[in-house]
Amino acid sequence: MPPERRWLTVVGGAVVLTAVVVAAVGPALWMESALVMRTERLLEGPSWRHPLGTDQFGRDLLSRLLVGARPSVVVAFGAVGCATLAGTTVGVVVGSVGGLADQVAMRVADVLFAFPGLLLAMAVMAVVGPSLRNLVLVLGLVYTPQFMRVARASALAVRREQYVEAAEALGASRWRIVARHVAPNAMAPVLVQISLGLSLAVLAESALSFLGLGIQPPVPSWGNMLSEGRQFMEIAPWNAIAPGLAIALVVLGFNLLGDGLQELLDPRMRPEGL
Amino acid sequence: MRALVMAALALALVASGWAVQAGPAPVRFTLGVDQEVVGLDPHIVTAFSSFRRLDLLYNKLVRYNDQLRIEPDLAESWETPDARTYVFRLRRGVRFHSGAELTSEDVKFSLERVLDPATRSPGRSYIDVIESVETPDRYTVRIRLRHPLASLLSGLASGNLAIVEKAAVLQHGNLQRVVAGTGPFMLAEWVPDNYMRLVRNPRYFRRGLPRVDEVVFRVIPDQASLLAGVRSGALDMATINQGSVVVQAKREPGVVVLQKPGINLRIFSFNTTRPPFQNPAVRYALSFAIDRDAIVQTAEMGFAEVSGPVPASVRTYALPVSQFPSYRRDVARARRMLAEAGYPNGFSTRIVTSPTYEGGIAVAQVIQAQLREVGVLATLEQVEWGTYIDRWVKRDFDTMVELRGGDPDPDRFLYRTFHSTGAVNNFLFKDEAVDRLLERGRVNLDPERRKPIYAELQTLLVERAPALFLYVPYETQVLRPAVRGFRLVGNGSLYYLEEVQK
Repeated sequence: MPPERRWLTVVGGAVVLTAVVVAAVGPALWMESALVMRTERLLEGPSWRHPLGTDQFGRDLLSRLLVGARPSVVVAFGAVGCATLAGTTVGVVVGSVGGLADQVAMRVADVLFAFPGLLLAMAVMAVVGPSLRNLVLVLGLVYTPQFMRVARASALAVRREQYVEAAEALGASRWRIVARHVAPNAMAPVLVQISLGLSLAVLAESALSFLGLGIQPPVPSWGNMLSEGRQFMEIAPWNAIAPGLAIALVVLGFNLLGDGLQELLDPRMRPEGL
Repeated sequence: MRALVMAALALALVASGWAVQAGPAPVRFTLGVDQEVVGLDPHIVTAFSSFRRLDLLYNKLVRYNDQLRIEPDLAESWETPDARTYVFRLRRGVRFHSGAELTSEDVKFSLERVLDPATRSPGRSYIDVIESVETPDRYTVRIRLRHPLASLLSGLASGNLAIVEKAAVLQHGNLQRVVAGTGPFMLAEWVPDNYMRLVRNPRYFRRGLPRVDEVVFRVIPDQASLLAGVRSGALDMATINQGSVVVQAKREPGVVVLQKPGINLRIFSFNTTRPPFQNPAVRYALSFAIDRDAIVQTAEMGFAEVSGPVPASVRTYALPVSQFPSYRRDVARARRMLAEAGYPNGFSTRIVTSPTYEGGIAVAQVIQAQLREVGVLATLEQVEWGTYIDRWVKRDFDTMVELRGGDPDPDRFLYRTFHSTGAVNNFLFKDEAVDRLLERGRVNLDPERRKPIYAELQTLLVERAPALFLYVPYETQVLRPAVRGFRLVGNGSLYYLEEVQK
């Protein structure tokens, strides 16, 4: 990997790490409350007391931004975690065993793929009702087919490798082959998919909260902060800029990290030919 | 030399164009609105956006002026020989857009069409005390009532009571896509979701009006774009209902902002059949828990007036809010009252709200924060408009943030809302004393005798609190400085566009 690409990957990793740390300890970093309304301080600009200004209700935007990191990160990792677990397991198994199971699983994936991800998520959220847990599960469901396809394709390729044939010749059981030989060797593309999926999930969480289907007020999330701040774009732009930048930055971080991982793990993109 | 010839040629072209057109280009007044209308039949529509178009296309027997007093419209004068009879004398020579003359037959037909249950007119409940409509001659209409109703004229001034041309309805079935009115403008062109063009009615009965040749309604859903349209001159006027955009408009030198407290009332409703809200003491305690000024400052950016049960803009009847003790926030008292009612540690509840009307969610958030201070933990249920209406109809809510269409006559607003048999009493509120006052207020025709009745009723409603009454939002129009002659009526109506000049 050329040095500047390596550098960018590190930056991406640092941004992601920061987001995770903020999500974990966010509210402790700034003493103002994210929920207290102060009618005497409506839509104030940045100041020492409120470095990012205040919102329509006089709430401190910095603390809201810090608290709002949590749903973004929790939903991103939770949803992608669910999708990885479910998608990869099913993908590797059906890719290895083939046959009817493979056909059925892929047709189900096709059905889920037929809907644009966000639209599907909106429809399901509207039915199950907004909550953090539902966001994680619904986005997990929406991203599962991607992981199924990636894992299955990878498993199909690995299955024809000589070491798999050798294991078969030695009389290893089908499940042992899947678990010990196919799965570990099919993981590289899944890792890349995880980092890309994370950036998509951050965006999806923001979008759903923006539309009122995600995190419910008064609990802040970057999506609902952007949604509320948008109408003050001209008279108090800091309301929309802060959450907007935070979303953009974290998505960029995940993407840089993903690109770096892809180069590291994909033999075709490795010029040294390891 | 060549330039001179070209200039002369251009001048000649302009001059000839002038001559052919025989007069200046038509004066067009362009109005930006944020919603398209679904239909134009005045007896059927319910949306605020539809009424704003109908204001220019139709007339009613009477209308409200900008002081919210009844004034003649198609009826030149009226008398009430007894409390159950109204006799209207129509203006003579009023013509429909088709050219036919308006007669008492059209008035009778219009009223009966609204009264016919098959029409499903929202206006039916406003005038269903009418027993019969008679037409002694071409220009006289006599209405007989089952019982006296003080708010009859107010009902007749409603947009749903527009007078339509009988022959047109018989021909077209309904008037959703065609116009059969007497209004100052006539429908010329309608491209849904884009624009609607109205042209001046040359036979309009108010002499010399309208003063512009065309009115164009442009549908622009985004509020900031509406303001941008007025700033750039693409629009002459725009209706704005988002506080942040009003703030912005007031900072701009190139636009004029007209504001007036409107007639709609923001309320926080209780389902009075669900615990703990069946207990009036709990509801009244919450009245002390909220700070209405803070709600106005945050959710409406100050562009609203704190109000009791009668919209504060109706000066004749509305009690000053200083007369309601619970309008001064008192957290300690609210806690004490909750404790006495059996809730020393507060309780949990849910607030249903929808983003459709500006500010609803913001109001819910402030109330949520204020209730937390007295130990009441409220969860927001943000739902889309269809679900909101559905839950409203089914009374499926603990509490709800609502914007109610008010009326200058207290009977019209309060009876249907708070009488135990009221059509829009979705609080399921039943209170004998309230019912009695509502019934007394509507049969008394003398405003001086009605005032004490409604004063008592307002105090009672604040205490029994089927809802917490919050405020009336301002009505806001943003205009180009060159626009003259426009006035806000105060109930949202735009009929003074007939007097506008630019």
